[in-house]
Amino acid sequence: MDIFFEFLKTTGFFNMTVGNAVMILIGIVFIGLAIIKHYEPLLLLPIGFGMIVGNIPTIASMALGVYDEGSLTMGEDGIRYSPGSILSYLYYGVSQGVYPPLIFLGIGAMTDFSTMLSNPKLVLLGAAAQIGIFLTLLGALALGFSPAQAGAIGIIGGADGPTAIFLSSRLAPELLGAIAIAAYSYMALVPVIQPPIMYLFTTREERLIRMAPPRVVTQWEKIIFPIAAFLICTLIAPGSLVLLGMLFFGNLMKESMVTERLANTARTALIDIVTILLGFAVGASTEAQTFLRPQSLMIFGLGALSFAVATAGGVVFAKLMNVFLTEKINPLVGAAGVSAVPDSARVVQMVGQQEDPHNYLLMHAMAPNVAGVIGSAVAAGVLWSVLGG
Amino acid sequence: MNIRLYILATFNLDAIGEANGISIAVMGMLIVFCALGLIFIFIGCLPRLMVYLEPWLPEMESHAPAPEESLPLDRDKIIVAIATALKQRQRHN
Repeated sequence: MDIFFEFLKTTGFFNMTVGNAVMILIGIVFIGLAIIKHYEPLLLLPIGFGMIVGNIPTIASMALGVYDEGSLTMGEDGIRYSPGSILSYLYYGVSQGVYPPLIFLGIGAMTDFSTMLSNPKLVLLGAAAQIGIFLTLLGALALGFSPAQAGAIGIIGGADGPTAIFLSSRLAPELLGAIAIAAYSYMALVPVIQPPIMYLFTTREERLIRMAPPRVVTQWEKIIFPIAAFLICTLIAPGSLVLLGMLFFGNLMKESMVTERLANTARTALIDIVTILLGFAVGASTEAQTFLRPQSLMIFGLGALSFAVATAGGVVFAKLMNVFLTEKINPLVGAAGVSAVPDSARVVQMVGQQEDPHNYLLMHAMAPNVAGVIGSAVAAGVLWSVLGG
Repeated sequence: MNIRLYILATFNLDAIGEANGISIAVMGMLIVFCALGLIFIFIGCLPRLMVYLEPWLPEMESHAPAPEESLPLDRDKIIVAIATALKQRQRHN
């Protein structure tokens, strides 16, 4: 009987805290949002299940959680290696920033830069939307976060999950779980967050603007672009080398048409495998003891602000550009500068078609959308080099 | 309520100045604009660059198949579908 009672003390029911229960409930909500509402199911489902896994209370002597890493101990019989938990090895790819560049490789192999090449002025909208990152940095500093932590929180405004994970693993690993969950949650909520801001900053006449169809881009232009863009960006901000290197390498594999097998693997099997591992490991890192803190709530608040400011920044800059342009651009397109590929471009299309069902903005919105990916990676490189010392 | 108090207690604008926040933010935005601005200029120059480069480069086909290429396959499929439907109708009759 004593053995039975001893066993009972080791069960999850006995060791469950209110925090664990809350996190498991949040995990179930994430899974529900993915399955019922179809909000970013590829991300929310692995993260949601990972949250449940990460919040099952375990015994201290058993290495099961993501933070139970392997260690070397000095004993009488020499140095002994205690292996870490399986989850800690999966989490290694997150904590050491291995997964984000691999995801960028896949994104590069599936991205078509044609719309950006055919209408280069839309690239600037991808730069303007990065204002969300830098204003949130200021907000985070004012709320008492250290400069490195503030930089990691600010990158949520880049609306790019892999970039957010990469930068926070470099600058503030202690906030990685909260930042990753905030970034992916808001990416899933792009269709909810962006439209009110887009309506607030545009008039009906502006939303009705039709844009000229993009010109045809030659295959050689598409091949030259990733090499040139990589050189430009990384010579300016070498900190973005890993992310942009993989992004443009993936794109070159696709556009060169001589490595179709490699490009196909990068945009299908590889990105899928890494997404599963990344989502699950990030979810499992949200143990209540490390996640449920006032800091995490502030990160969520700052993340929402960051998204809103980034969206407004893109829209307002598009309006500003229209002052100087003869061929006007629809300011809604500016909202796609926050990256969140391709959801924010879809939102632009949706809002545009609510005013004029025959106005097709999707192709135009893809230009600032992919420029936003480049812009947020450059911003991450800048923040890493300035704050990472 | 506690969170609001926590935020009010921690909010301090001086911290921005102490960490050179404004300088970092302005410099960061300028660098992002500089990088994407140069890409904008490069893309703007690309068609003119291609005029000089194209004579030296081999011809390349685009990813998307030409309409002529995809037509026979589609036509075959349509003919097969029509033939199958007609045969089934004949059987019923």
